[in-house]
Amino acid sequence: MHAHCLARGHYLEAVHDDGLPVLAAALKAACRTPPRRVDRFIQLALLGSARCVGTRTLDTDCGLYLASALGPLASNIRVQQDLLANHVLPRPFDFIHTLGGSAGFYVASNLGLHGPNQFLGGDHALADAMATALADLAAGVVRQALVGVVEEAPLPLAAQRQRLQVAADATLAEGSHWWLLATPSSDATAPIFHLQRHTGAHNLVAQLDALEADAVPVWLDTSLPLDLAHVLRQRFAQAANARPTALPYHASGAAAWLGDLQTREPATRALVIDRHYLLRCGA
Amino acid sequence: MEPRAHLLGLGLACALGPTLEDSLATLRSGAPSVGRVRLADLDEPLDSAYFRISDGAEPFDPTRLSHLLPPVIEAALNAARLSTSTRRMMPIFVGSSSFAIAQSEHHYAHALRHRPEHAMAMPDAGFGSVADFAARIAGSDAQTRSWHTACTSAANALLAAQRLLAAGHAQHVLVLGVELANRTSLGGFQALQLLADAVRPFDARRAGIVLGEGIGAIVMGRARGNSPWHLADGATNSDLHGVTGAHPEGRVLAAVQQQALQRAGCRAADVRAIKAHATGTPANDTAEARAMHALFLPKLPPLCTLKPWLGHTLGACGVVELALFAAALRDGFIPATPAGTQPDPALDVHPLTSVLPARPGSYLLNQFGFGGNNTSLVLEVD
Repeated sequence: MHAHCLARGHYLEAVHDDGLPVLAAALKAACRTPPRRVDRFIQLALLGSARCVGTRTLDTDCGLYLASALGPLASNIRVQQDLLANHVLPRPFDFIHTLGGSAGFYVASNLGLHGPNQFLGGDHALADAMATALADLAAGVVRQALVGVVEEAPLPLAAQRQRLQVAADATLAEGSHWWLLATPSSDATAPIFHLQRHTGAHNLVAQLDALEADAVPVWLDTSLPLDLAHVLRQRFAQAANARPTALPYHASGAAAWLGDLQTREPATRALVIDRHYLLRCGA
Repeated sequence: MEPRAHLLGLGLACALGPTLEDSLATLRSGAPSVGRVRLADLDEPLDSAYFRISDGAEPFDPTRLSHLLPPVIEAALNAARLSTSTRRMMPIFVGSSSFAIAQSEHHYAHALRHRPEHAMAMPDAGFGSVADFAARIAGSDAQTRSWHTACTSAANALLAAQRLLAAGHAQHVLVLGVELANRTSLGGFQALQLLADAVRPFDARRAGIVLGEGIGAIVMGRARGNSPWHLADGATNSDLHGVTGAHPEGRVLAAVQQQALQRAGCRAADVRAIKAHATGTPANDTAEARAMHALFLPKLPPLCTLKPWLGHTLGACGVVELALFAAALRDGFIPATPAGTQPDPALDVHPLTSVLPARPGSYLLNQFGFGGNNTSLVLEVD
């Protein structure tokens, strides 16, 4: 499955315990409709998607494919604290914001999208969203697909590090990473996103041999079996050394890495390899 | 022959019974059994009608998924007669509103009681644990995906599975809908003042939803086997009217049903019956009624509502209601709504009050959710 990438939007900021980055001005500048009564997760989704789309007019039936490893965590935290620590009902908007479809609703409203609006949760957020979007493009359900991955970093960060099971001194980030994809015929000059399934080491190595891409920057996902990851690290040693400097961490590392790489080097090729998929990006 | 998404195996546990067969028997000739559930530790305790899976466990016991999910999956896999090697390559798609939130609630409550200074809300964040557990039960090493689009979650998983099969990217897919009791859903819908004591779809007395539990499993495959049904196609769209409700005129709801029928190559006049979303809330039923009238002029097909039997199983309802509805059609009947309805004259929608014989043909299933998320599916019975 493949598609052309017409635009990208990327937000990745380190977070510190003295307060989350203020988004109000950036949201006002980027969004067509200023958001009201929305939570941090929705703000991040709005900011990244708006930066991706810019002033472009999308098809009204453009599909929206949002994914996240942890979802709207801050709202879920407030709801759980209200119910279990404060012994009161949650505030209605906190509960509504915990529902996966809420962020997509506000993004769709901002951009005037009436097409499919999907939210996928899981540890392979980028691949899940891409696979779902590319399937709809291939089936002719949509001609454009806006694909996003959003992660929060709610305070206090010590608790968030515990949830993520990362070191106590790990630098955490919040992120919103977006790509506007379209069926291949719509813009022949745009870079291609190509997603292939692989069925394990033998099959993957054969695909990589065919690509001659051993010098291309690569993201090797933690979901890869250890033995396969070891083989791939050796194979891509040169490319791995060329990886960008360490990024602040959130739970969808592949999306953060790809968004950062494409922002710094827009024309570069890149590979993302996880347990089931090989994602190729670039010319 | 055009590849299809045949329904090869079904599994179900719901308030009607612990198995699909038990549930069907109650649906055909029994009566719904609604219980109650309490959030006793709130300053103002909540006591709500609730459709529970009767397993003898405490309602918020976080281990319930571990004993309720395996038999449902095994029932579907056994009916589909999949080999071990086939199971290993079978993707698993899950739809849910709450996933494993009950476990997170339990661990947080435990910490508040025993180590309050270290208690951390949402200690178990993330969505993948249900799919990972299902993969272990099924013996699958293939991809998993989890949909979280409120009440359309499982329906969207079904639609994605149908497209995966149609494109030839898998031979089989296991699709699950999972919803078990949890404090977040109960407290949240109470906060929205949407809970009622009875489910009365399209009824003059309708006042809201009654939540319910359900675990459904459907094995879909490209090869027909002995299956009498296939998921022909479907559609999903966005209603931008509001985050908690469709436009009252129902135009977007009519559009998604129309798109589903078009994609399935089916005319409105050919629809044998509709399984309506039919939550029993004033707003949903008004919009759905207007949408159906607009699409099916001059006369609606026979209309089935399952939430009076099951409660609203939220993100699971797409799979739970399809499994039950398809099994009823296979057994020769279109389910009726329990006795005692008073159709709202303003809506002019009359759910079946007695079962109808089922015939081969096209059946439309509606699921609508918060976030303006609407999904309609077309089931073909051969």
